[in-house]
Amino acid sequence: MAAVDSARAGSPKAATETISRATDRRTARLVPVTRCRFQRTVFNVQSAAIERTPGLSRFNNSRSELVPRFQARVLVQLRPSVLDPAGEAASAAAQRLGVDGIAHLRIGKAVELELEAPDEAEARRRVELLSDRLLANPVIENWTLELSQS
Amino acid sequence: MTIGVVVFPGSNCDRDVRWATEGCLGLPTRYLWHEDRDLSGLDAVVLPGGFSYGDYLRCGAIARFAPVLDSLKRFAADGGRVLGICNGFQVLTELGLLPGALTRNRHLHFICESTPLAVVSDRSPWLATCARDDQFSLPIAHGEGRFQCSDDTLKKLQDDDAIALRYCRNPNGSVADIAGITNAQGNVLGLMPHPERACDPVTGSTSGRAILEALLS
Repeated sequence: MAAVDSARAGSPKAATETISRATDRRTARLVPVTRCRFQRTVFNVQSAAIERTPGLSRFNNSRSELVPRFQARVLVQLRPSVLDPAGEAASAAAQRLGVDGIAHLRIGKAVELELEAPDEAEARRRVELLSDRLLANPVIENWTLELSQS
Repeated sequence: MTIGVVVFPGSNCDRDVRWATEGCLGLPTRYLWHEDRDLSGLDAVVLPGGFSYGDYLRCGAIARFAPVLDSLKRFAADGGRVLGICNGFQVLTELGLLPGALTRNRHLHFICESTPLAVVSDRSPWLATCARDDQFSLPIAHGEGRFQCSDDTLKKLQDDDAIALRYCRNPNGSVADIAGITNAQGNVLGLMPHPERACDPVTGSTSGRAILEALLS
């Protein structure tokens, strides 16, 4: 038997059959090895996902109501010391439009996001980190955060 | 002795750099995809110009998180030479390897022209063949090249002799006419002008060769 197996191991198909049969003896009989592994993997992924993200509705999980959801609005503005040429151009255009009396016009950006977090302090911590490390460049920009629970 | 040229999605000067280093100067060069982490065998790395990740959010803000840049930080800390050109300069400031930031040009125009530059520091290896106040012209092509930093940072740049190049006629409103700076150690250079566009005689000038030759000198 061993001599036959090693002689057939030269072709990929023969090698696969040998491995399958050898594995069959250790696990459930007549169940294809790959299918067995696949099912177990999928099962593990699903159970892990439910444990970690109880709020995902696609798993139809009754605990989804428990995770508070927050709405955040981050306003990113150029620091006062940094020239805002786009703001100056918009200010000049306002005058051409006939809107008088504009004393100050600076252009920034607003980032709106929703997130799930266990409490407001944690939500604030996450959005502050995001604002400081990604949404704004502290060298040239300031940011302010408005946070509310939905 | 090999140069790596990082290719981000949206880079558009990567081939120009390779043509300049390999085609014009005969320096061995290979591309580094932005997801590569392996910088082994490289003696210098170039971050080329372009619009990495579409310049979304801010120029260089998304590129900063590219896997290749994790490795690049260690590469630079170990003294490897890093050259950031235009968008590459913007990435280096977002990454924190160079101080300051690049902002919208004062007059809001995208500028594409050849501009005269003066050497401020001849200390760095990048301009070893030049003397202080030497002048030459290089092409610039940017909409967000106005170098901006705090007074404290400017003073530190001056104290460290880290201002490499300044504009003779400031085209974009940069603080102190700054066109290019190095880190305090001198192994990382970022500049808005494009030396790779002034290496092949058919482009009209070869004044960018000295900076690219310094990659492997």
